[in-house]
Order: sequence, then C-alpha cells, then structure tokens
Amino acid sequence: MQQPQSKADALCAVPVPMPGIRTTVSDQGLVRISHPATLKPWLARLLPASVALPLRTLELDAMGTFVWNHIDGTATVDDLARQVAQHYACLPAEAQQAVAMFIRQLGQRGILGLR
Amino acid sequence: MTASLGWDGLRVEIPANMEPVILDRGFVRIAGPDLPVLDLRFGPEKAPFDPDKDGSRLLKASGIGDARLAPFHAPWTERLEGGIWAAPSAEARLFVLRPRETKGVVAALFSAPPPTTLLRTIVVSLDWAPPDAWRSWCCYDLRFETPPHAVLGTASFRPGAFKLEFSLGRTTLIFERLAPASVLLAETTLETWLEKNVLRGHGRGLCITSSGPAEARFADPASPWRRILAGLPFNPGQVRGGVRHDKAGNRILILTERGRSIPAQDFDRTFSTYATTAIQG
Repeated sequence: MQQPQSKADALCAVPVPMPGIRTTVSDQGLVRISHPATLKPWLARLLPASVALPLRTLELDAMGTFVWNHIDGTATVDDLARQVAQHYACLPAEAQQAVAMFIRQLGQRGILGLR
Repeated sequence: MTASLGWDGLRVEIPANMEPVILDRGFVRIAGPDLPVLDLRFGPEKAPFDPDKDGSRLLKASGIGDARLAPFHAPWTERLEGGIWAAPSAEARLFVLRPRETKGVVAALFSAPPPTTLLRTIVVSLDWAPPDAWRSWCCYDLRFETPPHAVLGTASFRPGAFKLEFSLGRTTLIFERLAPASVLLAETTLETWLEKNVLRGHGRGLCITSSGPAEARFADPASPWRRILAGLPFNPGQVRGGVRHDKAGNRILILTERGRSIPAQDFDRTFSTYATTAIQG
C-alpha cells in the first residue's frame, strides 16, 4: 500500500475492509467487527503460515457505525467526512479529522486498508 | 461573504474562503487558498501607540526592520476611527491600527501585498476590546462572552471536544463544547448524562438543577460550612456550572467555574451568551 503524500492525497484515498473481517450488528444497531489479532512484524515472520491468529472483537459507537456503513469501496475519506459533517452537523474540518482518526485506528488494527 | 472572528479582544471579519489556523493569546493566523497568509498581533500598550516610538519594535518583529511606518490613506479609510499606518512604502504588507481611543494596537502582517478587497475587508472590520471590558469570543462555531480581566489559559480544538480555559483572579472558567450530542446522549436525558459523565470528573457530589430538558445547572451543595471554607486561602473553592443541549446544532455546551465564585449576574451573563453559531457551507 502506497502512503498518501499530502492531505489532499489522504482525503482522496478510498478505505476498504481487509480480508478476514467479519461484522455483526448488536441489538442497539451498533457494528461489531471481528478481526484477526495484529502481531508485531518480527513476531508474524517467526510464526508459520498455518497458525491461525486469535480473533479480536471491536464494537463501534454510533458515529463509528455510521462511518463503517458508508464504507463501500468507492467512497473516499473526503466523501465520508462530508457525510459525517452533514449528518452530525459538525464543522467540515472537524469531520475530516474525526474520520481520518477513525480510519487510522482501524488501519492500525488491520481492519481497514487504503486504496 | 464573510465570517466573524472574535478572539482575545480582537474582532475581525474574514472572507468565507479563509479560516483561522492558529489561535493563541494575542496572536491569530488566518489562511486561505491562493491568498496571502495573515498574521494578526494585538494587545494592550502602556500608552497610546506612537509610530515613531513603538514602530521600530513592530517592524523588527515583522521582519522588515529597515522600513518605516507611514500613515496609510485610501478612500475607504477616511471613516475609520483611530490611526492606521503601513510599511513598506512601496508594496505595503504590514498595517498597524490603533483602535479608537484604547491603549491597544493591532498589527496585521500579510505574507505578500494583499488584494485591495481583502485588505479593505480586514482593516475596516478590525477592532480590539481592552482586557478590562467584557469581551466577545467567536471562533469556529462557538460564541460567548468573558467577564473583564478574564485571561485565556489554554485552548484545545480536538474533533468533537473543544475546550477553552480562562483564569480570572482565583477563579477558573472552562468552556467545553462536545459533539455530536446525539451520540453522546444516546437516548438518555441531559441530567442523566450529566450525572454519569461530568460530575464523575469532579470527584464529589454536586447538586443538579434541571431547568427544562435542554438545560441544567450544577453546583456544590449549599451549606454555610462550605461557603466559609471556600473563602479560605488553601481551599480549592467551589464548583458551579451550567450545561446546555443545543439540539439544532447537535452539541453539548458546558460552562464550569472552579475556585472563588464570580458574582452571580456575571456568571449568568457568561452562561446565557454561551452558544453555537450555524455552520456555513
């Protein structure tokens, strides 16, 4: 994955769920994501490929669920931020920061990648 | 189309395509696409600004120490009160204003000679309120007033959590803006949310008084002992505050006062002016 070079590039990136992710919806309508645990690169290299990593579960809040439901493989980070700003009546710059932070956190857990 | 910015006594109208990128005590930086960056420095002076005596200090701070401040005249500056000076004489980009009769000065430094429309919008709207007056603050979507002598301590603008802290003698005033309210409240009432989230942070039991579904006040329980102890020098003082749910703006506004209590009418005025503005664009 190529790293975005600038803020404009980052906003044009399209977040996509990584393979091996399973999602369920809780009784409150919140998304629960089950994903393989992420390991340190050196540890991942030592483990044989046949070893299945334990699954971790992450429950998103209402705002996270809203963003997750709008990730469809075509919507860019900027599109998501605009939808968040419109839906939650927040400042465009604030929505951009919030969405970027959300995507970064899910990326660190190996849930999302950028295309 | 312009937007108002009120910060630390400064009042200015900024074009809709520009926005504040740095907000600090006595300093604001405003930037926008394809426009020169504008640095505004402002604050009180010991005496009314004198360009001959005080000018060199401003010129040096602006990186044009070899220039001289000269009176600036344009057809649109005739109605302006106070004085206005500019430097350098060829392509001016530093403009110094003495707002009305106050002992204050506002220096507007553009990164390049500004277009006339931008310069006019900025200069005509510039004003500054001294620290001993009530000051209006208007930044991003927040709007409020602070009592005389309130000094800005810290300001943080994290997504969903804005916080501005002021000190006023032995009193601390904290303005918080949390968003989105619909997610934070999650179908609970404002009072329930207040009990669960805000009061836990204070680490003691506070009395909550609801005045409708969208507004509540909280304070230390009123007892004579507490009032006496709060006046002692070693005591951290009392806590008092108000919370408002701005349904239209989907925000929660919290004003907290810690330490020695300010007069009730000042607190009420501060809380009643605390609101959000509609987001444009």
